[in-house]
Amino acid sequence: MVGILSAQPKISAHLEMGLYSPELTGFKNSSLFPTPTSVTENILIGYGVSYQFYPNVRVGYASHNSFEIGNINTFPFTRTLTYREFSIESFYRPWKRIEFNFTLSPMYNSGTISMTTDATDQEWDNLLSDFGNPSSIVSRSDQMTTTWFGFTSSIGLRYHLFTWMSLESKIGFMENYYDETKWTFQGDTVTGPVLNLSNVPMITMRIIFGW
Amino acid sequence: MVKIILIFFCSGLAVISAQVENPEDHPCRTPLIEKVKEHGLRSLKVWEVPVFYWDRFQCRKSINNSRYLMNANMEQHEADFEASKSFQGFTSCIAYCSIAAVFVFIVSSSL
Repeated sequence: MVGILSAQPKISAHLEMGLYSPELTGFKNSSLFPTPTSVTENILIGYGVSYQFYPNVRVGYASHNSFEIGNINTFPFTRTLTYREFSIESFYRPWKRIEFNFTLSPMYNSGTISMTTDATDQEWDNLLSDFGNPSSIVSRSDQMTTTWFGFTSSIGLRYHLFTWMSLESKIGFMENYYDETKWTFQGDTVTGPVLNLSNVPMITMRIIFGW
Repeated sequence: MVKIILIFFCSGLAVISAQVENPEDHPCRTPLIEKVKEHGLRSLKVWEVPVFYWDRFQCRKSINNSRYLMNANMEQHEADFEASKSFQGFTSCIAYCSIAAVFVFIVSSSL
């Protein structure tokens, strides 16, 4: 690791913003969830790092996040879908500052719905009453989670502003093997929302800092 | 008395000679600037990059030339271009696979 960090500078990190078009059917049909807007449904925000290990090839990690914050019956909730790429990318420069790149990435993705509710906890209530307090309402937070595998491929165009900074646009697709019956809640397997995440087109814009 | 004058003279000379700028200490001759001139920007290690830009800033300020070492950036673009202007070995395979995968996605999503 120290060798990689101190070697010829081929490490880069990026911040990104993207658009994609999943079908969040389960959230749209839910009577409790707020109807997804174009921001909560289609916007991706992410980051990543990559390391160039060959004149034309980089390996890297990138995370794209879609999230929603709101209230369900006055109780605050957050919903996140995180798409994690482990990419291998080859590239070439037809001109000095312009690069075309081609990415193949297996993905390990996750979804989380967390909600904070008010609950009366008998043991805490007893303890606090014992100290002379009135009856208590304890705030309790919990979440349901799931993970699934996926695959993405994209083609990108990068413009090198400086040797240490560049802009990139990528267009691609991702395939997700999401199964709504594999959510977990407090250790138990539960059914989550139906989401169609198959053949999802994706466009991202990145700002890349590299050495 | 003569000895005292000689001592003052010698010590004065020593002070003056110490104040004369050593060419090696010039802001434009730091090890990192020399390294970049010789081997290019990518010869810098990660933690040397900010130090180099600070050195370059000091150098430009001292010689009052805001374009000094500007060509280092272009030379590095040129070197990067030479290194990656064509695919080498297995790298084209990744590109073909990627293009094929995107093509399959487009076809399957339009069906």
